[in-house]
Amino acid sequence: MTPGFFDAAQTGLPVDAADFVVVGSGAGGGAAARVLAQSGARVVVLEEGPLIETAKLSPVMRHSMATLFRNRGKQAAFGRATTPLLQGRCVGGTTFVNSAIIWRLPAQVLADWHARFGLAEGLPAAALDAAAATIEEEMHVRPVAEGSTAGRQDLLMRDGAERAHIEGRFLHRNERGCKGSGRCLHGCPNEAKQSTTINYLKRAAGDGAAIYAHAQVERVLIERGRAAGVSGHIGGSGPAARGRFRVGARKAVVVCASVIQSPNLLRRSGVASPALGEHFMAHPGTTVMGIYPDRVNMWVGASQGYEAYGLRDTLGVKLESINVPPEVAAARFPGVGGRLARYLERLDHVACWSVAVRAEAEGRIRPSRLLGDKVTYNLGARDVDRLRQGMQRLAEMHFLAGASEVVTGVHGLPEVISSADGLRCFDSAPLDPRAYTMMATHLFGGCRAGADPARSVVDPSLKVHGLEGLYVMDASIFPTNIGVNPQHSIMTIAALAAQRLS
Amino acid sequence: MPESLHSEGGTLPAHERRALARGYEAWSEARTQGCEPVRGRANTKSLWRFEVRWADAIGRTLLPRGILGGVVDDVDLGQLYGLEYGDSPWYIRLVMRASLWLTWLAPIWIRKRPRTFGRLAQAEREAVLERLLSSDHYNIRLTLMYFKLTVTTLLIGDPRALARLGAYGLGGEKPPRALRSLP
Repeated sequence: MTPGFFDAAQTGLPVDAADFVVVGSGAGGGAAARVLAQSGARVVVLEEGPLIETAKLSPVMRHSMATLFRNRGKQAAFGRATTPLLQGRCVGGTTFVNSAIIWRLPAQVLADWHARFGLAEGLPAAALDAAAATIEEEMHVRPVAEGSTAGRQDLLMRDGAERAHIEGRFLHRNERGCKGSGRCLHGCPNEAKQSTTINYLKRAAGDGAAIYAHAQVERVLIERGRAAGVSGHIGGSGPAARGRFRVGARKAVVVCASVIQSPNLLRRSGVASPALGEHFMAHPGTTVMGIYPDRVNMWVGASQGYEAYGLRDTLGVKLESINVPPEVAAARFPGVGGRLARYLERLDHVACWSVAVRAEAEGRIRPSRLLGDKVTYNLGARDVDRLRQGMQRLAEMHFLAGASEVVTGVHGLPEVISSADGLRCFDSAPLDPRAYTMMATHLFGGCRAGADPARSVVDPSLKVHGLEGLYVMDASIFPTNIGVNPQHSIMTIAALAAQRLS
Repeated sequence: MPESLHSEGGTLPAHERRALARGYEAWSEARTQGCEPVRGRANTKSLWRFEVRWADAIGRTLLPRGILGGVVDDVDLGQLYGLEYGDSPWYIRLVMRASLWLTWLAPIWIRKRPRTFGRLAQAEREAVLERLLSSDHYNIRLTLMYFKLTVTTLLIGDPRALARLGAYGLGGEKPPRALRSLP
C-alpha cells in the first residue's frame, strides 16, 4: 500500500486490505486515521468527495457549494419547515469548510452522558481532557486577536455584548497563519485553517496511511458477525471512475461518514438496531443583520471571530459573529427591485450575527430512493421561543453597538426596525418555525452511544453492539445535543477510541 | 499583523490575483472544473426556452439592471438560471420551476385580471413579487425566497459584483481598517 493522497478516479483503488479501513475523512475520520497510523497500523481512508487543490478554491459561493458541499449545498431536513443542512463533502469533510471553531465538550454534557447512557467507562473525563489537550497543541488552537485577525464586525459584537452584559470572548480556532481572508466557508485559500486535510490526514499519510478521494463506500461487508471490509464504487471523473472496489479490513472498519451518512451506511450493511437513525439533533439557527452608519466590510477578518456565550446555560443559545457571503446576505434584505438595490448599496455596512439553538427537538434519518438520505426534523415551540429570544438579544446588541437599523427576517414582524423601541416586536414573533429562515449546521445522533443495546447503536467503546470489528467515530454517536461547536468533541472522542483500538 | 489585510491586493492570495489578471472568465472557469454531480438521478432535464425567458424577466425585476453600478448588467440571467437548474437535485429543480410558473401566473389570482407577469409594468411586477415573498402561505413564500436566493447568488456572486462590494479583496481595493478598535 502506497501512502499519500490519491484521487481514486485517476488511480483506481489498488488496495486489497488494510489493518483499518476508515470511512470518511472529516473530524472523526481524520483524528482516527492519525492515531491509528501513528501506532504503526496500515490504514486506508476512503472519502467519497473530491480532493481539492488550494489553487482551485474560489471566493464565489456557487463554486464552493458545487465542489465542497454535499448535494451542492442543497441538502435539507424536511418537516413542518424546510431546514437547509450544510455538510462538507470533500477530503477533510466539514473541517475543510467550517470556521475552525474549537470548544471542548462541556463537563455537564459529559456528566449527563455518564449518568444516563453508561459512558463513564468508555469516555472518562481525564482521558478525554488529555486527548483534547494533545489535539489543541497539534492543531494550533488559539483565539482570534484584536489587531490581528479580528474583523470590524467582531469588534462591534464585542462592544454590543459588553453593553448588553452578555459574557463573550474572541473565538478559539485551529489555524496557523490566518490572514483574515474571510473565506473559511469556501475552503482556506492560504492553507492556514488546520482542517484534517492540512493537518491530521497529512500526518497520517506521513505515518503510512493512504487517503483515497472519490471512493464512495456503499456497504460494510459483515461476515460471521464481524466487519470484514467495505465495498463501493469510484465517483468523480477519470479513467477509473465508476469502477467498483472492495477493501478488506484485517482489524476493524471505522465508520466516520457523518451524522446523516453513518446510520444509513450501517442500515444498508444490514445492521439492525431500534436506535439506528433515531435521535437526530441539531443546532438550528439564523442570522440577524445590523446596518451601521460606517463601513463594516464583514468579509475582512476571520470568518467568525467573536462569540457571546453568556446565554448558553440559561437560554440554551450561542451567539456568534459570522461573515455571511455577500450573495447570501443580499437575499436576506427585504424587498425587490429599487428597494432591494438601495439596501445592496449598503451591504458593506452590514454586520451579521448568528444565533444557534441547543434544540430539544429530535428527528430521524432514513435512506430514501428519492432523496438519497432523508432527514425528518420538526422544531417545537420551546425551541422556536429560544430562537426568537436569541434574535431579540442580537438585535439589542446591534443597537447598543451603534447600528442604525436591524433587519428582523421574521415573517409577520416589521422587516426592519430602526430603534431599540422596536425590539419588543420579537415578543410577538410566531412560535411557528415556518416564520423563520433557518439553517442547521451542527448535527448529532443517529448512531447513539450507550451501554444498553436496546437504546443505542454503539457501546461505550464505540463498537457497534453485537458485531465485532465495526466502530463508529463521528458526531452520530453523541447521545445528546452538546450545545457547542462539535468539531473538537468529535476529534477528541475519535482520538480516544482509536487509541484504545490501536 | 497579517500583511495581506493591509496590502494593496486586499485579502486575495497572490495566486488568485495572478489568475484574476488573466480575466474573470478564465479565473471563474478554472474554479468550476471538477464540480461534483449531485447524488441521485442524472441531471438531464432542462428548462424550456420560454421558462429561461421568464427567469430572466422575473430575476431582472428582482434585481434590476444598474445595481452596483451596472457591473453585472451583461449577465444572461435566464441562461445562468437554466444552468443552475440543470445542476440541481430534482427537489430543488421542482422548486426552481414552480417559482417561475407561480410568479408568471400570479397576476391572474392576485390582480384578478387575465394578465401574466410579462404583461405588467415594472412597478406592478415588483408589487407582485413583494406580495409573493410576504405570502402567508409558507410554500409560496419558501419557493419565492429560494428564487430570490438563486438570483442573488448568480448576480451578487459574480466576481465583478463582489469586487464592487470590496469583498474578499477581489477588487484589489485596499480594505477598510478592519482591525481598528471601536471608538
